[in-house]
Amino acid sequence: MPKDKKKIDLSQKIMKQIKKKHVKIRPRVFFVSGSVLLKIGLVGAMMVSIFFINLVIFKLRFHGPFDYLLFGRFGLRPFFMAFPWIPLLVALGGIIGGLFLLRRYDISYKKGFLALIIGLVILILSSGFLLDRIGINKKAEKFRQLRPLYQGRFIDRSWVMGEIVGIKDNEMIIVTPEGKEVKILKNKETLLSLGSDFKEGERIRVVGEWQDDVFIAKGIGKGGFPKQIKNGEIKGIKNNRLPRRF
Amino acid sequence: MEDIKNLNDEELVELVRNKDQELYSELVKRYQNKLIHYALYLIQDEDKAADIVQESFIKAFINLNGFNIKKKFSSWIYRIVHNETINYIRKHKKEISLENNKWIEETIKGKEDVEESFNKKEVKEMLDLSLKELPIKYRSPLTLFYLEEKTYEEISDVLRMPVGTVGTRINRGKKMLKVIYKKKEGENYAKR
Repeated sequence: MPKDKKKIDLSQKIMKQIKKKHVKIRPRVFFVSGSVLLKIGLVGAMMVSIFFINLVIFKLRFHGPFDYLLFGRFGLRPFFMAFPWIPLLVALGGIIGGLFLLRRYDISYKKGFLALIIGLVILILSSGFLLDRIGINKKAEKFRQLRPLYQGRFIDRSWVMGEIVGIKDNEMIIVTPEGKEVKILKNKETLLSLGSDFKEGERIRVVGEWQDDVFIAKGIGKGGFPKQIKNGEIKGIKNNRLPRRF
Repeated sequence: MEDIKNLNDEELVELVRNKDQELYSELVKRYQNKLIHYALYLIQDEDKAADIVQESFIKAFINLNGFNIKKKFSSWIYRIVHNETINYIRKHKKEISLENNKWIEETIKGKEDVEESFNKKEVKEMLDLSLKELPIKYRSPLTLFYLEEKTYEEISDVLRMPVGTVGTRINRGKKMLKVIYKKKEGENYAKR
C-alpha cells in the first residue's frame, strides 16, 4: 500500500492558475440563487404532489373505479379507464423529484434517507387527504385552467354511470352527469351484485355493451358519483335531481 | 505569515474569499499530502491521485463562496476529493474494480457475532497490506478512520451517510480485513 514516498507540492501549480485568472471564485449570488431555487423546487415539488394526491383521492371517491371490479372481468376495462393514473403518476413524479432535491440537504444523510422518504410520503398523503376533506376541489374546479383536471368520463363503450330517471320491467333510463340520457336493458344474466331493488333517483354504474342506442347491461351496481353534488355542479343535474323523461 | 499559520481553516477561507486569494496556497499546503494519501488509498496510483487532488482544489476554489464556514473545511475538501476519486473510478471501471473480492462479503456473512478485537496499530498494519483487496465502500471509511484519523461524525459528512452506517461499515470492513489478512498469511506460509 502507499508507503510514503515523494512529497508532492501542488500549491504552485494551483496558485499559478489562480494568479493567471484561469480560475475564478464564483460570485456569492450564484450560490444564493442556487439555494433559493433549490428551496423553491423542493416546495414546488411537494405542493404538486400534495395537490395531485388530493386529486387522486377525489377522483377515487367521485368515480369509484374500484367498484367496477365487483363486476369481475366485465369491470376490468372500466376500472382501468376510470382509475386516475395520470394524477397518480404526476404525484409520484413530484415525490421522486422532491426526494431528489432533498438529497442535497445534510438532513438526508444525518437523519437517514429511508426515514425521510417515509416521513415525506406520510406528510404528502395526509395533506392530500386533508385538502380533499376541506373541499379544495370544489374551489379548484371553478378555475377554468384547472377544469380539465376534473373532467371525468361517465359514459364509454363498456360502461355508463348516471341517475335513474325511469324504471319499467327490464328497462331503465338513466341520465349521466353530463346530461346524456341512456336506455339500459337488463336480462337474466345481468350481474346484480349489490341488489336489484332499484328506485328512481338512485345513482348506478352499469357495465355492458352498446347495441345501437341501447346499453345492454352485463352488470349493474348501485353507487356512482356522490350524492352531495349540488345543483349546477355537473351539467344536467338540477336541484340534485335529474329530469324525468321516461 | 506567522499569523496565517495560527488561523483555522474556516478563518482562512473567509480571508481568501474577501481579502487575499493568494492565501489559498496555505490551505493547499495544509491538506495536499493528506488528500493525496486518501485518494491514493482508493485508486492505487500516485500520479492519478495527485491529479485528482489538484483538480479538487481548483474545484474547491471556484466554489469557495458556496462553502458554509460554520462547517469544517477539512470535511468539505475531503468530500470533494472523495467524489472526484469515485468519478474517476467510475470512468475507468475496466482498469479499477469497484467491487473486487465479493467473496469477502460472502465469507463474513453470518459471522457477524464473531467479534474480533483489534487495536489501531493492528488495523493500520492490515490496511497497509490488504486494503487493495477490500471493496471500496469499506475502503473509504476504514481509510478515513484509521489512516486519516477522522471521527465518525466527520466521516459521515465526507461520505454523506448516517453515523450509524459509518460504524457498521468500519466494523464489517475490519472483519473483512482480518479474513483477507489470514488468507494472505496462509498463502505466504504455503509458499515457504
